Amino acid sequence: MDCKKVKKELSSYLDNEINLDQKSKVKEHLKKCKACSYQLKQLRQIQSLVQKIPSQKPEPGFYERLSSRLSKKKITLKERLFGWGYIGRLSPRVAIVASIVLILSISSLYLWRSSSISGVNIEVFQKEYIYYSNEMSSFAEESVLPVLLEIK
Amino acid sequence: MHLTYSDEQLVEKFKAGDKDSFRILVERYKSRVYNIIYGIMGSGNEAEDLSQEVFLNVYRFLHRFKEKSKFYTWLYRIAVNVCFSAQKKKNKSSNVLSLTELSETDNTSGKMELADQSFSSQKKLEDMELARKIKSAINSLSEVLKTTFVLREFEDLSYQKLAKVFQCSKGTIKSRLSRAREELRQKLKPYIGEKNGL
Repeated sequence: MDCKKVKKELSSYLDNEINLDQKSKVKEHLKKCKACSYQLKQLRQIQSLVQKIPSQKPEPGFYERLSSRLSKKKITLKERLFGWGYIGRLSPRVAIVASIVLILSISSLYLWRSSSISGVNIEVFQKEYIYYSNEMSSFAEESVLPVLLEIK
Repeated sequence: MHLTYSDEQLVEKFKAGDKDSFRILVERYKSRVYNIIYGIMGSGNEAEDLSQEVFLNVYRFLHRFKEKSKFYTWLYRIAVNVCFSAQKKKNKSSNVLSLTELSETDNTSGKMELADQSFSSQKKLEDMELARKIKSAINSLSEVLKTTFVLREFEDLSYQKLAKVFQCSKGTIKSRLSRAREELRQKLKPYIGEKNGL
């Protein structure tokens, strides 16, 4: 195995993630090659230094903070589904379309209601008109007859 | 008593509606997740925020976890994705510090720490300086190399497990680690050697 190949294998050799055959070949090469041995030594130094970096831990109360974010997230979801906050988060295009649909729905509802109200009025009016015109005609008949008799 | 439950059992319990098992999983993994994210992002504030983001995702998606892999492999995958997406956002925003700048910020705090430690021995100062340089070198690695390296070194994950986390082949992991180490070696060359007595 030449230096180029060995250098490619050094990292997995360090991690012991190399098959036995390759491992023995690298080992053989390292015995003879100072440059590759030195490179492996440097990699070991780096590994050792990295492992010395103290591990970091979250501040106490991590779960409580998480839990509070979790409940806020739930509220946000509710808001998004049912709340007014959702409108603010809509994209302008969606907001415009939603507004148009809303306006159209309200106006058609209004038109439908007003037409149904006027429909009732017409019916009532027609009934009343018929009633009053009958009344009027009978009155007219009554009032006209004596006049006609008088003329006669 | 809850310590006796395996991850798999806790996942099952959570799926069955026992929300307390989520708390146990958080307590079990919070430090590891925090440490990994700290190693990748290089800042405590981000580590706290992103670690919480990881667990929020766990809570949201645990019911979809099909348990084809180990829970922690899945968890680390979420952590890696959260870090990648945070890094993407950071790169998009022109106002935010770059990784190099971040490590320089750390340098300043490191210098302040160094000043505060004026009574410490010279050796301790040298060690701190070296640790700072290593952190800075790790931070300067590309996102993929850094994440793979951090998970390998901090969590001691095997190549097989890393391949599962990153959903790639063992060969890819091997190549990434080799490149990461070579870059670190080049950057840290002036600071490592006989004089450090390592």
